[in-house]
Amino acid sequence: MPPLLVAGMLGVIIALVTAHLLNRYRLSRYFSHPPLVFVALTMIYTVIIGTFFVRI
Amino acid sequence: MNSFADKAKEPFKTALAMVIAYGIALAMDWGNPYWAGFAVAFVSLATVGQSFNKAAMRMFGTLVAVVVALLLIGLFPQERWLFMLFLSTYVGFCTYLMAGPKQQYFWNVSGFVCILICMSAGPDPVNAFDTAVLRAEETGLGILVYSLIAMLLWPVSSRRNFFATVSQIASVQRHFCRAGLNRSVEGDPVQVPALKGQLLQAQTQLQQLLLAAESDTREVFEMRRYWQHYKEQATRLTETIDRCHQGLAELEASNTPHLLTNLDFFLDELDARFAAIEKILAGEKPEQDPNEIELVLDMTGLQALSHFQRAAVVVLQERMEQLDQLTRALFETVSVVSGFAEPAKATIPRTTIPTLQWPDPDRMLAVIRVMLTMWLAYLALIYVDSIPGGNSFVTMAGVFGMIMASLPMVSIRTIFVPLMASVVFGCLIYVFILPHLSGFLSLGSLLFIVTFAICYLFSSPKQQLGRTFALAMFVSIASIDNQQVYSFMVVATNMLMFPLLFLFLAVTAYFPVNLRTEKSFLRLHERYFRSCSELLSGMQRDVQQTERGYARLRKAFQLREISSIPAKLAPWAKFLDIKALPGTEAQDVQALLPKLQDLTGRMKELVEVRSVLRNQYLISELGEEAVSWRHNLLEAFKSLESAPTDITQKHETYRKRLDGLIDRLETRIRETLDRATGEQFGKEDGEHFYRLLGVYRGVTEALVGYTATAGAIDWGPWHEERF
Repeated sequence: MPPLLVAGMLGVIIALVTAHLLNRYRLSRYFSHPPLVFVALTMIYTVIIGTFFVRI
Repeated sequence: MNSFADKAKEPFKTALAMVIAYGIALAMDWGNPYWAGFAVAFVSLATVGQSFNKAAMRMFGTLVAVVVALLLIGLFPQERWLFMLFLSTYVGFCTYLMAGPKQQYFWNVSGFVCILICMSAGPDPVNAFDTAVLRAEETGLGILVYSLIAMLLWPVSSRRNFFATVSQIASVQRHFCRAGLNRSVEGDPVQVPALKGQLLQAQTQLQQLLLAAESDTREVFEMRRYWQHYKEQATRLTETIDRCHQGLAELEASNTPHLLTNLDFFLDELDARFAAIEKILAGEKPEQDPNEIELVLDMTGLQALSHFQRAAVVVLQERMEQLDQLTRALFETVSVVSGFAEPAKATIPRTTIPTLQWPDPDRMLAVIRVMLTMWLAYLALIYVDSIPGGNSFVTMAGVFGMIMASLPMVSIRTIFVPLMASVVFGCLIYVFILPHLSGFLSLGSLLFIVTFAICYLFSSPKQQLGRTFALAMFVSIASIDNQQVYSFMVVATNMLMFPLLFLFLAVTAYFPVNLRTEKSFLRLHERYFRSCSELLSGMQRDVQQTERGYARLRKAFQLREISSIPAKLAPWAKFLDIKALPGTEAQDVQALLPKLQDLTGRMKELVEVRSVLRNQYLISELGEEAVSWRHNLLEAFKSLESAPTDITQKHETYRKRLDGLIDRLETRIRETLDRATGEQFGKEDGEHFYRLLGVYRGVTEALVGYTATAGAIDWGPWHEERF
């Protein structure tokens, strides 16, 4: 499996979990545009996973 | 035992067609014989007519897709970005038309087959023509085999269901008319909404059944234009009965007599017409044509009423006259289609040429979603090395993108779970059973047993999605061919490709537009009231200026918006996550929809009446009060756009303010009419004027009614931002 794909997949999965938790604890109301936050979270997680764990 | 035999007929036909289609494709040594299997799996429906319709749309869709795909491959052989740009644009175009009222399946097939051919043949342009022709050939084979089997083996015609639905509509319309209008006899307020619901459901079924019956029932095919006309008339009749029912209820609520001196006689005549229609549909010749009836108003009583009460009575009389015309026209159409009258007796309106329309925002959103999903998959294919599925990944992204775009209210999870179960099922057969088979006898037996089992176990319409996924995954993962190769990579690829694909679909459900049910509901709600305010603000005082170009286009769009949004809101309301919305009950949300439909009817009447009132004297005399009324209503619409949390207080304010305005308008009218001379104010102007007043009041009441219902919902949590 290509490392970028693995990092990207994990990034999206963790972003989805984060979004779910933020919804669960009603913290998402503090964001003005959650879809954009979701994309940002995905990118941040992908870069972190790619840098420290998967080594893209 | 009988129930098993009945239930097993359709699965048996599908399974047999599947085996024969595979057998022929393998015997002819065609590549990808599972394409023929796909065609069989997707065109099999409950009746011959329905299957023929779907088969024709699949075939024509495939042919159009073949031409477009070859054109794209020929135009952009070395230009991958332009190739994808045009391919995704074409798929977006198909998605837009797929969400329209006609030929949805044709556009769906045309879109996804184009992606399939482009992505299979694009990287291998030398064989592009062969691939495209093979796809068309095998689709044709699957359709031909299934059609022959459906015709020869226990053929089920749509005829019985079609005529049963037509008779049901006639009978329920009669009861609806009795219960809704004959208030002194059967005025059961609970019965009316139930009958209306039954009618709406039957009318929706009629659309599907008529298409099917045109394909498999000769007498329906011969009279298809009249049946189409009947369908439209029946829909209009239901709406008119409902409007008359509302008109009577409003008069009763304001203690106003209807003043129609021969209403009982009129209702008896209507009942006799409905009874005659039922008889004609049952095959009996009508004894006589409908009698002429003219509704007579008690003019002395009318003079004693206030102007708004008079307006309400005039509006009711006009609606009743529409009812008279519609029942008469329906009687004539039914007589013609049943062969009891000459076709010349029923006049069919000419087919109008479609005019330029403002694009529908929801359909545009679906287009953006499909295109974005395809681009994400394409970028992943180019920039991520060895992506699972390769070119098929983009194909699947397009196919599922189109499915999800047409069902935006369905969550990804709802589709993902049955799909993955189907993938696992397909993989198990591929790994554990297929390698042990040798020869077509054993392969054919397996195909028959699996297809039969899937179709039998998922036979109810609600299980349609599960059946489609299971058959599609079985056929595609098994990838049966003359040179069968088994590889664990097939299993691994499918197991990885779909989760990845659904991650992309999850991203496009959040970005660029959040498709959470409550947010989508609020967006539609906002658009509804924005369209109402735009319609209202577009009503010029001087209506003699005819609208042109852009203004007419916008007005048509606003009218379409207010007509379609209440129906669009219904599925979103069904899928709302009520647990995430404290202070909201599902039944309160459902109760909003008829209120919006009521407001839509009033707004449409207002636009219609306002455009025919051309008496300059009345317009200028009432100008100030009418403008004040319009400004207040505009303000109310604008504040409702955002579904405010203080809607209950607003309800009280609107009630008081609008009641005050109506009183002032009433006084102004009295003064104006007292001053008016015969030259300034003709009989026709008077009728239009009273209709206008009735509609003013109607819009006001409908709006106040809506705010009262919306006040039961706590809108605060709806506005909270959520992922």
